[in-house]
Amino acid sequence: MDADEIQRLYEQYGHVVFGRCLRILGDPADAEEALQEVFLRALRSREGFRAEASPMTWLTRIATNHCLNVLRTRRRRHRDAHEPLDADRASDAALVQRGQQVEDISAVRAVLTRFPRQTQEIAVYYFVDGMNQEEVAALVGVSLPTLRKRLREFVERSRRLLGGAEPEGAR
Amino acid sequence: MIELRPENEHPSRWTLQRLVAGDLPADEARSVQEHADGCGECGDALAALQAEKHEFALSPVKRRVADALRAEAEKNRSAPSLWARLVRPRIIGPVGALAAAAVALLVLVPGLLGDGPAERSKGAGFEFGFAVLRDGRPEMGVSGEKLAAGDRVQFVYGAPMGGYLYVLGVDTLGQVSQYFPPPGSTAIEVAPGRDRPLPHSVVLDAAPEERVFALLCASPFDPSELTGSLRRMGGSLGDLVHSETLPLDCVQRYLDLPRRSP
Repeated sequence: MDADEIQRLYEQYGHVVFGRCLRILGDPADAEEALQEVFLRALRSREGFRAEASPMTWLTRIATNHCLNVLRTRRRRHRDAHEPLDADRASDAALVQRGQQVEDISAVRAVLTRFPRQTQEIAVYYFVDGMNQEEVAALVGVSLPTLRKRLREFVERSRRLLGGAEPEGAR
Repeated sequence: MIELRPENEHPSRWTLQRLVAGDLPADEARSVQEHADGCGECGDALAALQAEKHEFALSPVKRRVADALRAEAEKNRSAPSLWARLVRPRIIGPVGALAAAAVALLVLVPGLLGDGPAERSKGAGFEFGFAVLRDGRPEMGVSGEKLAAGDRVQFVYGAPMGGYLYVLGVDTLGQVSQYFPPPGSTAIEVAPGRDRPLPHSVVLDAAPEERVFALLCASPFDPSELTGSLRRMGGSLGDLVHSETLPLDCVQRYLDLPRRSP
């Protein structure tokens, strides 16, 4: 895959990457930075592209990793500053117009970094990307029963966290 | 409220997104489109995704990022990428059967080194070394020096670019240990920098000798894919360059940790 191919991928999938970065990060400026970073990373690591994966899946994985790292850094910064963690921004209004379940996405974003990394990925693919359970299981490489168990755990613990029943820092 | 959706026959939002992006195979695209044409809910969702794509096509964000990508690609055209220069060419063999991961007894304890730089040898490119606790103080060790079972060591790396870091060891008995990312964790991306200690130190077991590999990869992979290759090299302690399970975009370094007789 060469630089021209990356440009072609950007034309075809740029909107997908930007849209999901915006949904995960909740901020247009952060999403633009993430969009650029994802494709730059794809460009730098193009020798590592595995031909068996679809380009959209490959870019989705890179974007997920990057966005989760941004959220983790953001959470650490908020915690260090003793500020409440809530990354919701005005940009969510744009999602409301498109009929997205913004409450869900904002809530997922608020608790995401409190979970192990694989659970974070599962939650992003399911709640943010709207994949069905089979699609998530195939992408993450876990069985359907395992996936369902992780999702149930995520939902139950998220409710406790959002209800204030579990303090910040608890694992 | 975060809730699970009932699984149903409607295409997922992700599938609709793939349709809009032209990522679905022709047959599947046709059938998803037919469904959306006859389903109000999916038709609306599809229209919203198409609007999102259209909005992006006209946005200054798209142009700004496209310009940045073009500039970077231009730079790359005149100089091969750092990954291309660092990754050694190798012969690709057929992919062998993957053995299940062996889990060595491994104790993770708080690091010996702080977050600041550790003293270590200079040099360009990807670097890998270790510090060992002597008389209560961490000192940089040298590959091949004899250590005792129970010694605490902490691995240190220097990366010229960001990437996914993996640190795996195999001893002469064929026991494989995953030092980084911690067993059970998925891939961890590290930032470029010099003299960076891993977050934990490890207590050495009584193996006669161990070879510890550090891999810096452009993309994440499942390290258990390498454990079969590592276990097979057991007695001979070779290197991973010729392993058919080592991803092509990884740079490898290794060091040896022989143990002193008790």
